Amino acid sequence: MADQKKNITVALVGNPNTGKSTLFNALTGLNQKTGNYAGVTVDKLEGFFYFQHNSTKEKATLIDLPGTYSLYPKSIDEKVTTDFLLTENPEVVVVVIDSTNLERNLLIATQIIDLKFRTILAFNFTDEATQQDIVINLPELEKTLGVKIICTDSRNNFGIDELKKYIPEAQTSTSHFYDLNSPHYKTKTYKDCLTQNSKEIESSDKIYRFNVIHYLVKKYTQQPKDLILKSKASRIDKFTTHKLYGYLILLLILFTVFQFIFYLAETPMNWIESGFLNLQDYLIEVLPDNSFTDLLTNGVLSGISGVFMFIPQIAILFSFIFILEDSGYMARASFIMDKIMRKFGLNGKSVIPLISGTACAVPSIMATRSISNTKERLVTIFVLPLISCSARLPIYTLFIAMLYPNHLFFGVINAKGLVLFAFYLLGFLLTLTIGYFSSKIIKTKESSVFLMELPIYRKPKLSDLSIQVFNKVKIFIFDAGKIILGLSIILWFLTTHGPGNTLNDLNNQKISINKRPPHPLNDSLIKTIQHQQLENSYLGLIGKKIEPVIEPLGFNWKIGIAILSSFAAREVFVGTMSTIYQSGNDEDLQNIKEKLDKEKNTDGSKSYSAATCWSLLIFYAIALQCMSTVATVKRESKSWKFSLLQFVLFTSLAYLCSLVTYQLLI
Amino acid sequence: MVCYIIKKSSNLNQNLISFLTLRKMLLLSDLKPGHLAKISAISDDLLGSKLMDLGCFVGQNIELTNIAPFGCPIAFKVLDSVVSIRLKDAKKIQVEHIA
Repeated sequence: MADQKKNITVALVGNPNTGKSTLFNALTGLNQKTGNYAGVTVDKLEGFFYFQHNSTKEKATLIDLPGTYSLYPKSIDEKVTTDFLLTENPEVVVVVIDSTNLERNLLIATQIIDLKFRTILAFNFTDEATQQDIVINLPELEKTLGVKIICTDSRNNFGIDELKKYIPEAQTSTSHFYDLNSPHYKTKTYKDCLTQNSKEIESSDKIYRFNVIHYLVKKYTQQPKDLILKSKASRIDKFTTHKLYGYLILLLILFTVFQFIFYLAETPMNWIESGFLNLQDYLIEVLPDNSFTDLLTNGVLSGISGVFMFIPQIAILFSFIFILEDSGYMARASFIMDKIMRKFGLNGKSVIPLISGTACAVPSIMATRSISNTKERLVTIFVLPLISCSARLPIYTLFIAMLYPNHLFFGVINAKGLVLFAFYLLGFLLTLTIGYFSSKIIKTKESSVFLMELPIYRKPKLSDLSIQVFNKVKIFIFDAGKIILGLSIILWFLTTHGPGNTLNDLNNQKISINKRPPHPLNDSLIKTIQHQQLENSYLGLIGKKIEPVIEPLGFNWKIGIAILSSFAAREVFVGTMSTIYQSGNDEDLQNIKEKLDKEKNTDGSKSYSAATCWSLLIFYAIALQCMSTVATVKRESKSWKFSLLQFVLFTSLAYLCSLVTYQLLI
Repeated sequence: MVCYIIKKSSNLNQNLISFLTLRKMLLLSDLKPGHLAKISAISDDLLGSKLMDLGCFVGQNIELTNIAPFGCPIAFKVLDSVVSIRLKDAKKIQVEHIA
């Protein structure tokens, strides 16, 4: 077809903190696709937009490449950018430039120009440049550089349409900014020298460029000696990096994040949960009573609801992370925390993932991507699952309530609250201890340098926030969601199927009871049958098989089943317990608690003695009982070995600690 | 006795020389906030080339702006942007004090 022209590819490059992502969002809106570059954990952002060319509407694919200061890569992220440019050959390259810091930003711009790409320079933050009395002689600079310069202010969507308009007119510059007299370029092009990876060429090239740029900036721009926004930032820094106020501010922010993740997320989480329960009830009513309906309602739907339940927490967490990063505060938090965290093998940037780990390890592991030091990032990922996440809360609540029904310490302190606090503390202490030791063991090839810019403070853009949160939620639903859903179905199969015909017979009995005229005893009969069904299912048989192994911890086979089924997600534990103990309502803690309290062993002793409860609590505090976490760790560390080692190690540690606890208390 | 005095003074001399060279070998980690300095050498290749990306190379003027509580990391201004590095890396950067 005539109007079906080939899309052109436009690459967006530039230094970090130049408003590149904001510009990307302004250009593409919601037409975005997130993914990963092959083999590395670098987010790949791709989008498209339309532009007018010769009075026809054309489509361009826009690639947001990781921010980099030069095309000589120093990290995995930066290598992605250079490799993409050199191998994929995008038709047009838009270099985003911070107009308030031309001298540094023009380095990569001149490199792009010398690679003979059709280039457009987007001079971003023009509002800030004007505010700070920076004057740039654009026509002259344009002439010297040989490419079009567009003034943009991506935060206020200024210059976006003009940028789109000039995309088809992007030109290759005839100027060059490398040292023509250097012997390196006698026989080779600039591209050849760039890929040669020679330290000598690299440093002489950069110094030459900076000298040229320094001359150009001196000639074509005027700026006051002290820039207002920069001195304002350093005045704010006096507080945010102060040895007392700095930590108080950080503590206050962490406290707020913590409160929001826990309490603000609660209501929408309840909505999602009850919504799915209603849907389940409705489907059971309208669909025929067969195993397909059972799979759909108890397997698939409960799996999907398990995934969707986490959306509010993830959305809130990433909103905060976005605000903290985009405002410039995150760099200051890392600045004051780095030395303390480094003692435990972590990084200043580990603070936020660790705190948000109290909500859920999965998004927090995703959030460690901002840690550029590979080793410190791996240590952070390694210890993160030890932080008590919100999925442990139902288990903590249930068993702490069994230990201390209504107990006050010293007449005032609520015992339940205190024990709960102690478990969170245990998680943090374990995190730091294991972090300390694992940093001694984990080895990485990449030697690295901690280098972090302290950008000026800026107001985060709300529309960027929503796009970012939307993308993160999407990644979670599709990546972790797949695994949670798959496991829910496997678990459904294991609980509803068993060897021989026992389960079928039981099912037939259940059906025949249902056909009987209503009788008060019917309900309890059905519950007894359900209990027998679970006992005779594959899961029940496995639970009994592992009983000798978990007996020293004070666990019976019923707890064994619940532990196995809670691999899908820890909160499944309480649900399974309620099925085993035929509690009417799945989430009715009070109900299950009473049932567990009454449960007796064959010798007449209480099944859930204090020793068993403590042992279970300790087990869940440490064990990596979460398939989504295992899968996320595998994805982020790019290594099954790492992920499995972590799983085996934490499970063994949990087993050992539970064993000691139970044997001491019994 | 004379011998001893000569020995002692030569010792003193040596101490003086090493003291002077130490003074000359000022490191980025020795600066205080507000100090201006010129970079005279960077003894680590990776650090050097990473810093160079930010316009921070031998001959360039920098200003120490901030030191984190507990002395590490430190932040300095180069080409209108503030960059922070850890103390162990700052010790690899030789500077000349300007003001």
